[in-house]
Amino acid sequence: MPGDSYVIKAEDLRVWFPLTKGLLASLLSRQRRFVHAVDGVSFEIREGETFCLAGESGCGKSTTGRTLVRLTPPENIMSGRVLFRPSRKLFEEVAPRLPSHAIPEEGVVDVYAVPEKLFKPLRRELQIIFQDPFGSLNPRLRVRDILEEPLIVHNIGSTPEERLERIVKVLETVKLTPPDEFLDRYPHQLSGGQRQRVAIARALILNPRFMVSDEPVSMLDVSIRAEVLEILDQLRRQFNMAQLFITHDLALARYVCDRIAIMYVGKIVEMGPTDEVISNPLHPYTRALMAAIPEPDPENRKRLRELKIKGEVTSAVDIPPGCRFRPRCVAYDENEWVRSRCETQEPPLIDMGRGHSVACWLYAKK
Amino acid sequence: MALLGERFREVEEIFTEVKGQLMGKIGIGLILFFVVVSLYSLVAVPRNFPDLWNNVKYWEKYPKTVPPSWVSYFGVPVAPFVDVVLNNGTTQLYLQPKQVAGVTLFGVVQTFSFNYTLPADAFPQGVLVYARNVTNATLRTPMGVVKPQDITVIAYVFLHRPDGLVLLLNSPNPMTLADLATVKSPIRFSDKTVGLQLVEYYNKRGVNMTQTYAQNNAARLAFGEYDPDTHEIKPLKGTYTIEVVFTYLARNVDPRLLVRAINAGTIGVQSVEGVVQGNAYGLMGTDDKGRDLYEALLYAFPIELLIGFVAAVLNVIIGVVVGVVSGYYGGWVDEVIQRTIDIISNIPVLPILVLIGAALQREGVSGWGMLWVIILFLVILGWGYLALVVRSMTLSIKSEPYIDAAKAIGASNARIILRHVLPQIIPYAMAALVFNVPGAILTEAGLSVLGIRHNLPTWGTVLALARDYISSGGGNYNIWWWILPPGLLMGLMSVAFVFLGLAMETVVEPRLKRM
Repeated sequence: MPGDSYVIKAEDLRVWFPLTKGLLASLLSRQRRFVHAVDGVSFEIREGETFCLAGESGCGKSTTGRTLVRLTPPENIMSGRVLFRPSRKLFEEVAPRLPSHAIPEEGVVDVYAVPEKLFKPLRRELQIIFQDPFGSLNPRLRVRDILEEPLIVHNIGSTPEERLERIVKVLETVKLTPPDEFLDRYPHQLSGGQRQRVAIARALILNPRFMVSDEPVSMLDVSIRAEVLEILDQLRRQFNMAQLFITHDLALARYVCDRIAIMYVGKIVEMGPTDEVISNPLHPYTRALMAAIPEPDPENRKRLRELKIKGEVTSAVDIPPGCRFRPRCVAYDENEWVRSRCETQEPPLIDMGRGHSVACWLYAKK
Repeated sequence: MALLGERFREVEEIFTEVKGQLMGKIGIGLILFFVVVSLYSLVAVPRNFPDLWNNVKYWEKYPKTVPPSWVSYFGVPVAPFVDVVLNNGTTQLYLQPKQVAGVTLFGVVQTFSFNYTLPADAFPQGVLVYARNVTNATLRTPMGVVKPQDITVIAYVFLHRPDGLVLLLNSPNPMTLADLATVKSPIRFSDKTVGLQLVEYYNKRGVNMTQTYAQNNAARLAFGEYDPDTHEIKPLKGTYTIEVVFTYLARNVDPRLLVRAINAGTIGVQSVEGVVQGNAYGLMGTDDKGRDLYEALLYAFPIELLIGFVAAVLNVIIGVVVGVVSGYYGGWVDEVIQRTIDIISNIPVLPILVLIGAALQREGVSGWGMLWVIILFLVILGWGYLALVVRSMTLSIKSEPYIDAAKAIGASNARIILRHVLPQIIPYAMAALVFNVPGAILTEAGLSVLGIRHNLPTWGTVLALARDYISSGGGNYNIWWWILPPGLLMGLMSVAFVFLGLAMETVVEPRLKRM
């Protein structure tokens, strides 16, 4: 069951990447332009909870995930912070060496306030699985080398035998059995599902408290998705891990997540318990996404879908004033009374009760 | 250690891949040949060879600008090169004066002789004789003490021709035994002496010959016959005997006693080296100073490999390190490195090296010092291209998800570079290393030909000397034995490394792999 206190928390997080310009262009104009990959995102994930980030590609969900585990260069964090509550043991290990501003409250660490050199031990409890199981394993290393690396980096296990013991154990956990058969294989000798399980094992071997799963099954064959998802779910229950699950597939999100947040061009537009959001979508964008889910009923296959969205994804560089979804919004066209606000003011997240909130002027008090 | 093991696996992988290809086999075979010959050279050629090479006196006895002796197997008439050491002198007391080729021999006469067979229609270049072992002890006799300074020696070299004519080849010059013992220079063939005798000989037979003509063609006339009808000199085949005669003259000594002392070896000339300079020599012929090209080329084998490998290895090390740092760290480090590469890769290598070489020559730097400076500049100006390629490889590797994964588990930059980046660059770096080796060798040779001389006998030096010889006007273009071998060796060495490099490229670029 999800605990009360959060494990990780994003507070008004903004991640901007500068657009690189030619030498001449940067001499001529002082103004720097940015890709607003993440543009003011706040959420928290509790112990044992799986939190989904959904949205179309390019909306900043992967960047958010990477930022939570400090894979984004600190200079790209424009504002906001990431707070992480490590295990008691790890906190006591790192806290004495950290500057006071990196510990905003007892037991919590401000991820980007920790100096780079002191961050390494925290990585043990902040892990990530990537989308591409073919790219995320070095093709030149054997499974045993891949899994041994985290142990060597963090000085876990003093002898090779001790480390091997842990490797065997984690391979069993991700159901790569018998482990002996997999130890000396190279990634190219494994199937996609097996590779992804090695990647999971690599993240797991350090006993993380929080794990980002960045579209972990979207590149796998449908037939092996369930297997990998089941392993992830079992691990969450077994280790009471907090998980950020990134996906563009709402059907999948419904199956995996406790809570869900829908992102559009760097912002969360709707957030709440998964069932609540999916059965009762409020934001026009969420509704459009829901309508795009294919229905398994063969009766419907010839029925033309009514598109609840128009136009193309807004550029993350030139964000329109007011609501960023406005240029694509069907509700904006239909409801004249709301237009003036849409055009001028960015909608805040409005609490709709039962933990469900939405960023749309349609639901604001008039 | 685990990190090191990784490197070795890469190298092993490359080796197995290369061995499986014809080009790789040829390359490895040729390189093995060069390495084995280099090792042989280290054993066989004395390490002070550069000193000998620049010592003109040392090469005096060898024929000048002659092809290798094996040309005889291809039907080229060859007068062989003969170099004998004679220890079997006989000393006699001539009580009656004896006339040989107009010379009167009388008193104590010591004779050494050897035969020379001229098998083909060719002329030797000349005859040289050295008094090699002269005992210049003080002789104690019942009549008193005889010092080497008191004994006068005259040396004669006679050539007994197959047709019975006997010629005196040198201009006799009395000297003391003490002088003879210390003077290292040979008893030389004298054009004037020989010419005078020949004019007399031919005039007696009614053949008209001027003194100038006889002197200018003395060596050829000595071993040939003049045909008054065609005005040509034809070689005289057959067996010649060369007789080296020393007469000893000393006051206050019983000549018999002197003869006994000389025969006993207590005084006088003990051994003589006789040389007939043929018109062909050794395995690879000689240059215009009589220097043995075989020895020079052999001596150069390890030097060439050293130049190539030192320059290539340094280039590759610098290129890889700089490239990886530039690509991996990016930012202003990258910017500085990229602009530096822009600058050095736009410096023209050859003109700069010619300039530096000229300055070194002016300052009197030569030999190894100059060679190292040349290598140093080849390295300084040479690593840029590789660094660019390695940088772009690093950039693409850096964007691989497994690098992010490594960062996520907390791996340090050093660890990521050593374990995830470098292993993928190593195969390419090895191929670049192999491709770089001939470049350095050829540049060094090019510099020699352009006049930057370090005076070490390298293939480039040999080739450069051939160029000098031709352009000085003295020589012909037909000195093939002088031009071809260094050229071929350089070509062969380039081919060896290029083949190996091409074979290695299939490891770097698997798309090139043939089924």
